[in-house]
Order: sequence, then C-alpha cells, then structure tokens
Amino acid sequence: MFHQVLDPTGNLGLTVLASLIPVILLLVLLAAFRVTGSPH
Amino acid sequence: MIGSIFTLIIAILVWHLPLSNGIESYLIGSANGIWAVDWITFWGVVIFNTLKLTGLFDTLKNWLVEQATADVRVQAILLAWALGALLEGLVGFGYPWAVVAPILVVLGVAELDALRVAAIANNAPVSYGALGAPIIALAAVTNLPLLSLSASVGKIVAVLALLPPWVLIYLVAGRRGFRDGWPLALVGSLAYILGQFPVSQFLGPYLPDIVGALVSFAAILLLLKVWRPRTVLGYGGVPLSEEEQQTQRASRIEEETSSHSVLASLLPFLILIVVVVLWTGPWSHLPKITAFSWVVKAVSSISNKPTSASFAFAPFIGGTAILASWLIMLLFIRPPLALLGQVFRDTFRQMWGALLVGVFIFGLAFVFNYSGMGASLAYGFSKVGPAFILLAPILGWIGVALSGSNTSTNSLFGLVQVQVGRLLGFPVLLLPSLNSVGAEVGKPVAPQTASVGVSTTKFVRNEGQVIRHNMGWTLVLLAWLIIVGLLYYFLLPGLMAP
Repeated sequence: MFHQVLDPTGNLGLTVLASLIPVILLLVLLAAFRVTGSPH
Repeated sequence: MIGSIFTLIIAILVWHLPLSNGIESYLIGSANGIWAVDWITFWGVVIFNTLKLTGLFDTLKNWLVEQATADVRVQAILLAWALGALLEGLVGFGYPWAVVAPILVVLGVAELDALRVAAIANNAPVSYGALGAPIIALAAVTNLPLLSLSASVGKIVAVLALLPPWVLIYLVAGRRGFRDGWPLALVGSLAYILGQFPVSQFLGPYLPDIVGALVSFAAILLLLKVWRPRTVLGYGGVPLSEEEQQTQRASRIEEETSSHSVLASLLPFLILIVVVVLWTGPWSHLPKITAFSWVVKAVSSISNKPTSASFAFAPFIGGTAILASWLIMLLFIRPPLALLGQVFRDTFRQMWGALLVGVFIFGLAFVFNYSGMGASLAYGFSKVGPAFILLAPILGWIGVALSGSNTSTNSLFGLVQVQVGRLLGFPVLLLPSLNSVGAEVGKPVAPQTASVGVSTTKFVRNEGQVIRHNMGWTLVLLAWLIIVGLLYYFLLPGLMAP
C-alpha cells in the first residue's frame, strides 16, 4: 500500500510551496481562460 | 487538463506517488466529478431550459415583477433576493445576475448598481446553488456525511443571511431606505432562513435555496398585503410622485398574468420539491443503493491510518432524482419534441465546458489529496495555530475568486480544511463549512460568474469594472462571515460536530 510522505523535501516551507503549485496553477489557468468547473 | 498533468508529475516526482496509483486516483476523482456533480447540475440546467423555452419561467418572472410595486426596496428584496435565490438554487452559473440585473435596470436602477445588487443578493444562496452541488462535492472529497455538511453549512448561512437584505436596501435607497423599509429586510432575511434552514438540517443540500426562495416570495407578498412603506422610494432613495409611480407601473405591467398561469409556472418547482424530498429524504434508501465501488487505499501521513480515494456508483443519487422530477414535469407541461431537442442543444452548449472542467478538477483534487500533497499543505497551515479560523473562509473566498466555482473550491480545499481542523482540534465540520461559505461570499468578484452575469448588459468584456464595484461589499460580507465563524468556534462548537 502507498504510504503518504508528510514532508518529502525535508523543509516544511518548501514542501508547502511545492504543494501549492498545482492549486495556484489550476486557479490561474481557470481565471485566465474564464472557465468554471461547475455552474455555481 | 494541463493542471491535472502537472499535479500528477509533482505527485510522482516529489511525493513519490506510484504512477499506477496516481492514474487510479485520478480516474476515481473524475468518476466522482461526473456522477456526483455533473449528473445533478446537468439535469438542473435541463429543467431551467425547459421552463425557459416553454415560457413558464417568464410567466413566473413577469408575475413577480408585477407584484414588486413601484418601490425600489420591494423590487430589490423580491427580485434580487428571492428570485435570485430561486435561480441560484436551480441553475447557478451567474444566471441570477444575468436575469435579475436587466429587470432592475428597466425599473430604473443604474446598470452597474443593478449588477452589484444582483451579485450581493446572490451571496447567501451559493452554497446550495445548482441543487447543492458545492456541498455534494465537499462530501465527495472529505468523506464526511452529506447531511452533516449540509446542516453545518446551513447553520452558518442562516446567520450570514441576516445581513444581505439590509445591504440591498442600503444599496438601492441609501440610509433613508431603512426608515420605513426595515420590515422588508427583516421579513426577506427571516423568510429565506425559515425555508433554507430546516431543509438544510433535515433533508440535505438539494433544495434549501428553492424552498427558501418560495417561502420568501410567500412572506414578502403576504407582508405587502397588510403593509407598504409609507413613502414610495425610487432608486437612490428619491420619493416617487404619483405620476412617477404610474410610469413605473406601466414599465412593470404589460399584461396582467392570470392566476392560472402563475400556478402552472409554480407547479414544476412543487414537483421538484416533492420528488426530491421523497427520493432523497432520511427515510429513503434509494441514494444508498450502490451498484459497485472502486477504492484505492493508502496510509495517511498525518494519522498513519489507512485512507482512501473511492468512488461508489449509486445509480439513484440526487442527480437521478432531478431527472425523475423533470420526467414528471414533462407529463404536466407536455412540450413538443422539437422543443426538447432545443432544450438539450442549449444545455450542452451552456455546459459542455463546465462538465469537462468538473471532470478534470475532481481528478486533480483526488490526486492532490491521495498523494499526500493536501496533507502536507494542511500540516503547513496548521502551524498558523487556532488563528487559522480567520483564514479558513478567506481561503474559500480566494478559491472562488479565481476558479469561479464554489464546487471547485470545495473539491480543492475541502479535505485540506478538514485535516487542518483535525490537527488543531477544531470541530470537524467547522473549517470545511467556512471554506464553502467563504467561497459563496467571493462569487461577486469571480470573473467567470461576472462574464455570464454581465452577458445581458453593456458591461460585456468590461467585467473588471463590475468586479471592482462589487469588491467593497464583498469584503464587508467576508468580515461578517469571519465573525460568524468566531461565534461558532468560541460559543457554539458543539453545533459543528457531525
């Protein structure tokens, strides 16, 4: 079974920044292309 | 799609997620996006388009406009607040702005202000928008019971909804509007809560807005039978002369709607309520019937206990109840087949992008959570300490301001908020609920919502101006929400336990 890793970079600040990349990228892409994931 | 691929790559390279597990969790997430959210929002829009193309929606709208008197405060509460909630509850998508703002403009409200009134009125209903899709998404990503989340969000919305009708009266008539117009704000807010609150507590997230809107219509119209503001005020709080009131009346009423037509236009909503209540209420086992399940397990980096990404194919979930309601409506409406073809063409044209993005976002969110990225982010956020209670609604607000969707925001941040709450010893339901309500408060500044909202006005491709105009009052409501969050955290934490 896959074991999640809490702090894969060994630096919590860096790990948090890395985990924010997909979220920020997605939100920026959605805002840039003016598409919405759901009607509300 | 780009975001999904990027998330998978980071999950594999940094969080050491095996590729096969990553793909499996992505597919499970996408399946949830299709079945839990797309299925119900699609049929909600089909119902709206059916009502629109058969003229039933216009009948209801015209009748409400006739009842709205010449007073701008009545118009704001009856049309922006109550009719807006009905539109949000069924279809969302910025339609409450797009439908309500042009009516207010015809009635004399400046266009930019009309858009702001429609947008601010549309705050409280968003969490239960599009037949509860944001709460359904929140339950799908957090594995918390749907009814518990519906109830906890309902408790927050019930307090939040006390404020917007007062703001609306201030926006259309200034401080003068309160002098003899305060009963409108009081009845408007309490009537919505009277409908929304019990439904959200005991029946789930599908109907609180629709019932809240219908109770608001009834309460405001009853109030107007026994009471009217002493002075009839126009836009800006200017008293209207008899002559101006007559002109107003002429612009509102072209041909009086018959009571038979009004009943016919309300019947589809009554069918929807009866079918959905019978189908999804606590007495029904239909939504719990599961044809098959798909689960991929992992060990949580926070609890060191097994966790999972899962999809259960329950053929009779809420979306199927909406489909059944629509089929029963057709028996009464009896529309021609050609019109039904147009309904589906319009629905696909409006929704194909949103349906696809829903699939991608849910896939991304499930990889994000399953890989442990979400847990790492939650662990980082937990270092803020109990002060995170102030940030939880702001996170939702930012999420919707960029994504335009309460549902997407809940799917991205819902589990992170739950995990932060668990790490900090918060009541389990408090932070995800604040995330959802924070997202609804942020809707007036979401570019995607504004794009649809301004589509019927001269502000097309000039949404920035509208968003800037909305920003101040949105921040006031966000501050009000933070106060409500503190209230539940310090004084009523027991109400936020499952």
